[in-house]
Amino acid sequence: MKLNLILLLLFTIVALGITTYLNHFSRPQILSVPQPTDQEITNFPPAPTFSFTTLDQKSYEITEFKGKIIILNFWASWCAPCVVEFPKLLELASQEPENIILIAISVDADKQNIDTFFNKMGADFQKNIHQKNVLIGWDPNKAISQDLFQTILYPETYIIGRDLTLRRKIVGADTDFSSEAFRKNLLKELH
Amino acid sequence: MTKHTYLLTILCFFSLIGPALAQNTLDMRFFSKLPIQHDGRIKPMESFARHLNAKLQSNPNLENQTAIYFIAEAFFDPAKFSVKPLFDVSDSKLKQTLGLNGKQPLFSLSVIIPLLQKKRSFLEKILEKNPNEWNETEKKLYDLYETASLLKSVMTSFQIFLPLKIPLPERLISELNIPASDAETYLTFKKHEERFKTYLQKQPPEQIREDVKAFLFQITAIEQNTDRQNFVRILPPEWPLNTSDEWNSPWILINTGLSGPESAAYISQWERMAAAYRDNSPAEWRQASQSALNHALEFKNIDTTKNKLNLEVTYLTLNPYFFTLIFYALTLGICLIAFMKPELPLSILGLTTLISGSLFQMIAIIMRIIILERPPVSTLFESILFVSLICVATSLIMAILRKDKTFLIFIGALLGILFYYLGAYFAKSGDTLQVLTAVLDTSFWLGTHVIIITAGYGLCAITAMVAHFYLFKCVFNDNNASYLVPLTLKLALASLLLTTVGTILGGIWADQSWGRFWGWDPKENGALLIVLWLIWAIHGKIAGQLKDLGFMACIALLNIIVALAWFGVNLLNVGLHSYGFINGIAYGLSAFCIAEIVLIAVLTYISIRKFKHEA
Repeated sequence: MKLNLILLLLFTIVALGITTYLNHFSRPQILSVPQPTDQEITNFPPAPTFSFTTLDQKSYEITEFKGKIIILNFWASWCAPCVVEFPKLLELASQEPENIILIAISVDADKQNIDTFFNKMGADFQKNIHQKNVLIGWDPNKAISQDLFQTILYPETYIIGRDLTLRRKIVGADTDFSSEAFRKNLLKELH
Repeated sequence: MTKHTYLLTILCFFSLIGPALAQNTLDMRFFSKLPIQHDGRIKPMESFARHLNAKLQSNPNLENQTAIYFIAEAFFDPAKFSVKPLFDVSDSKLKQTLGLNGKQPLFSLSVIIPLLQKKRSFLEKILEKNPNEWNETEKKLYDLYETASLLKSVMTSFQIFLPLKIPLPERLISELNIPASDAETYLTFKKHEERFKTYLQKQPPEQIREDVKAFLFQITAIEQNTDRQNFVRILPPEWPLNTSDEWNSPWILINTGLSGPESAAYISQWERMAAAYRDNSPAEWRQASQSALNHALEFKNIDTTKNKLNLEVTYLTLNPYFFTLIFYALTLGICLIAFMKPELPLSILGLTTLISGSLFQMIAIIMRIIILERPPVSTLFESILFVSLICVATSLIMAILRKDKTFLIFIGALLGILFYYLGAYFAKSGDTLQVLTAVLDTSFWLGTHVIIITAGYGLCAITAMVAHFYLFKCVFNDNNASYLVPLTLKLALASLLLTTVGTILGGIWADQSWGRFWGWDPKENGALLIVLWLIWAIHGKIAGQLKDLGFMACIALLNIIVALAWFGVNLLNVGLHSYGFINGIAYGLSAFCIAEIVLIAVLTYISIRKFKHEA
């Protein structure tokens, strides 16, 4: 009986000791939360095949521009951010005439509004808009913008790779397309 | 006419009517497998539908309508759905609060929503209070509000591509040069919104006609209804650089610019399904739903979930627990016959049926593990099912190893059935395969600590059950009951081992998660209580302080300790283990404890008297 009592006492002391030790020395640790990193993506979705008509009634197939970086922009003359963004896109196109094709598809219901908007713009704009690598399309029934690309808010810009895969989608007009950094990154990304 | 002629006539009748009946019903096979993100995981539409259906389970009108038909109607024919009497408002106080009259118990969403809107300020006051302070009517009102809001968001999820109720006036269609087909739905009208806005700007407000105003009102209402509706998440993130794995509802995806060509194509499949549903065209519906499913299974982020969608639909439609129950009930019947007629060689048959039942239960648990990617003890409901399997498996092993097979098979089947109904009580609104996202969301620890501790609960339950039988045998003139004591001692030791290891692992987990090994949390105390109770009883027996009867009575009482540790602590609604808190369980638990104490006390008292008398 005495031995049992001693054993019980010893056991209790050891158990209490272990608990105190664990409680005392195992304070919560501060661990950093792993941040998501840009992963190497190889399986980009193919861009849908479509044809469009420019303001001067010429028809093009998107596949015609395979091998170039396509900047597909959906815009409207009544959309203020689009109007702000448009000259920047033209500037980017003028800086890379061999690498970049700008397809700016207007969703204006009335073609006259597009002309009025163009006429209002300054000399630089007028020069850039007539570059060979700038195509202004018109999609009044939104067959391309909404039915195919499901664009409802304007502007929206798709960057299509040389292999005709969808690389990026830019929503809104916050991106400075005319900046050096953007241009270099784009060329680096889609070399 | 001969008997054969009658038979032939009946067969011909059914062979003629059969295809006709089949054609009138829409085939939901493909639709039920369409993926949707809900409760933090990708699940098939069937599972989502059952989850919603369960919220209205008290409604007898839904018994004849399967969940998947219910959800299809809510999606594609919201007008018809909204006038269906779905809400059970039979409580007189709730009726009075809502201002409803008459004895009619069921009301439609179109009746309930305006009434709830009137009670908005009252609901806000309820929400300001602590839910524990809500009275019964307030609880019911809040539940009603929650379910109604949920169904409303389901109904409005696809409103953007359903036909507009108020058409765009004919003269405007031609005046604005809008293709007639584009005036049918909100999404197609959206293509010509600019023309419509320009038209409105040109008109003096007093000259805008009523039909145009009504149309405009409808468009605004759709935008307001769908603006924040992100409950029906059927579209995965489309962009490769999008690191979020959150799915979205069609409108949210489009309206936030997260959509693209792939979602456009998928949404058009849904539009096709909606049209086929409204036209009640089985062939078109079948084709549309099949191509939508094929499209969905091509989603990049669904690779790992693809097979699980099929598995989950199989799990839900097969319902393996039903077969488990049938086999356990059969086993129980066989054992009862074997008890009454011991000369019949029924133990092998009983063993076979029990093994069959446990196999179904094991299949169900394995399916759940694969579907939920979690160990099978994430919720109280799951842990009950797991404990049940442990009990049955232990009794099976013992039955195979020992001579007294019938008795052990009986215990296994009985515990299997008891736990089945206990589980059914906790999953009142149906097993909706919910995933727990609270503190237990750590697969490693669920796989070790929780499994070991719940396995310990299972062994405790079977040990206590054997002890109960010992007491019954003592009372009912069976002098050979003592052979159960060594078995109980072994089981108690095994239970002690599992519960002790489980409790210590729990401490280690707590140390890693919360920075302390032991915090006197009610659940920790409950687990410790089981360990101490077992240590006390086993020591009492080994040291000779407790005789056979006393030891067995103590072990029988283990049931109460386990019930208090397992369910009771959740009732306190304090500490970190409040995952299983369920209102109303207190009465059941109290009744169980009192009944057990009385039963064990009476059995022990009679046994003592009997032993004294025999001595």
